[in-house]
Parts: sequence; structure tokens; C-alpha cells
Amino acid sequence: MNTSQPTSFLSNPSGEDAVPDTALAYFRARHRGRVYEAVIQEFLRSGITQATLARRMGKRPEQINRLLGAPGNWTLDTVSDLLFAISGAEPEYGVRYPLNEPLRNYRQPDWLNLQAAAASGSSNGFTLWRQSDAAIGTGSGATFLRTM
Amino acid sequence: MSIRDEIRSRTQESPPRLFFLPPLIPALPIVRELFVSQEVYRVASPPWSTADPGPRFAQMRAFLDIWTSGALISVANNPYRKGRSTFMARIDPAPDEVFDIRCIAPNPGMRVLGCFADRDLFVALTTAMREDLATDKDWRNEREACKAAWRRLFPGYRPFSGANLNEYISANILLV
Repeated sequence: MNTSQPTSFLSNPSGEDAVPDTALAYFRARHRGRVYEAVIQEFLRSGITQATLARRMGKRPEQINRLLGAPGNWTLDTVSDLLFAISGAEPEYGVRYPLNEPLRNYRQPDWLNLQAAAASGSSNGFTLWRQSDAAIGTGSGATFLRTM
Repeated sequence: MSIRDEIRSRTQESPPRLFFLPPLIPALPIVRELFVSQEVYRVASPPWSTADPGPRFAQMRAFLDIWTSGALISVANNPYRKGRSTFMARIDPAPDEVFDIRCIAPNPGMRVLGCFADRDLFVALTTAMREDLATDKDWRNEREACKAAWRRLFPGYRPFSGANLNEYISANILLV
């Protein structure tokens, strides 16, 4: 079964070797996603509305709506402004080494494994959501941006 | 047979017509499931060239891994009312049940089109460079290519359809 692929393109920098642009591109996109998640979670935790945030930042509500929609044009200043205006927060920085972290045992859905599916008597026995990985809230898990 | 039985069969064909795509970083969790067609697998798998479109493909893969690892994503149900860089959006017309993952950076970015097979189970079927989606006709052609790819893989099965986005994605989404 084909469920994996080479991962050697993502390896830790070493010596004088140039880091491939593609590896940089991958981590840039990942970083944007992580920053976005941090800001949006703070916004949701704060309980304020977009209208309130707009007033605090001296912007129009539709500008805030676009800003919170995704991190496409965020700069470091945008992140700082948003976090402080939301709750007086500032980013806390640290580094991690994801390529050195232990491999997850769970690398494909259980139901892809024919023997496992047959043994369980079901082809539907996979786990969708591991709570330890959940980031926001409870219930349905979905969150609406507060509207004006 | 269930849709999962069908998916499993497609991954076991020789050559496979579907691939399960775990995150490139082995330490990342698999929270949502992503299967990709041969077309998507080719561009989503390293190594990539360092010249364009290599970095675009690498960023596209990061977007796909954001999906799989369960990170917070913004999702738009209305094809015509969404933020410029919303992560995932439904494509018009809604009854077709085609969605795209919008890899918006670096500009002009890429789109990955696909359909849900079940909750938290997305099947990515086609990719397009954003500059190739300039007109309504371009979008229509891409949408139809996606639907045709679904029909070839799963004859007799309709894409998953839910009453609202909570039925498509169980957690960690921002509905915009």
C-alpha cells in the first residue's frame, strides 16, 4: 500500500550546505499558520467582538474582518498590534526542533489496514480527533468569528 | 461497500490511484485525513526544484500538512464572501460539493481542489496555478475536472454533503 513518501528533503541544516529554497518555503507557510492560530485563539479566548477590536485598533470593522480572515498579509507589527489590542498580550518566543521530535506511531488511518479492518469487523473504525491535539473549545469544535 | 472501502481499494491498486498523505514532518499528528490523486501526489511530494514552481509546491504541501495536522483553519461556505486568504472555501455551485484549499502565498499561489468523502476526510483531486484561473470559464473547467476525477475514482458515490460546515470538519475551524 502506498501511504508514505520520502521525507529526506526536510532535514536539519548541516555544515556549509545551502538550505533548499523549497524547505524554507515549506517552513514559511507552516510558520504563518502557527502565528495565525496563536492570534485567533487569543481573540476567541478574549470574548471580544470584531467591532470592539476594530474600535480599539482605530480601523473599520470590515478591515478587521479581512485581517482575521487569514494571515496572508500579516507582518510582525500586525501580529503585535492584534495581540495587544485583543487582550494586552504579546507573543512569547521560543524555538523547537520539529525534525528531531519523535516519530508518531500513528502514520495512517487504522481503517486503511485491511487486516485490522477485517479483525475489527468494520471498515469504519478510525479515530478522527485526538483530544490532546485539539486547540479550541469543546462541543462541535467549530468557532464562528463574532460579527458586528 | 462504504466510501472508505473504495478509498482503501484505490490506494491498493497497482499503480495506486489514491495516496494517503501524512505530514512531511514525522512528529506532526494526523488529526484530519487527506487522500490525494496521482496528480496531486506528484506535485505534493518532494523533491522539488528550487526554481519556480518548486517553492510553490513546497508551500502547497505545507498547507496540506496544516489540514492533516489539525491546525486551526479558516473555512468559507459562501464562494463569494470570503477573506482573500481564507484557507478553504466552497466552490460555486454549492451542490457540486467541490472545495479548494487556497495556497495563497507566495503570490499568485495555487489551488487544490477536491471533495469531502466524510467528515474530516478530504480527497484532493486536482491542482491549478492561480494565474491559470483567471476567468469564470477557467474556474468552471477546473471544477468540472475535479468532479470528473471524483467520478472516475468513485463511480456511483456522491461527495459527502453536510448541512453546515461543522458536518464537514469536526474541530478547530474558523467559519468566515
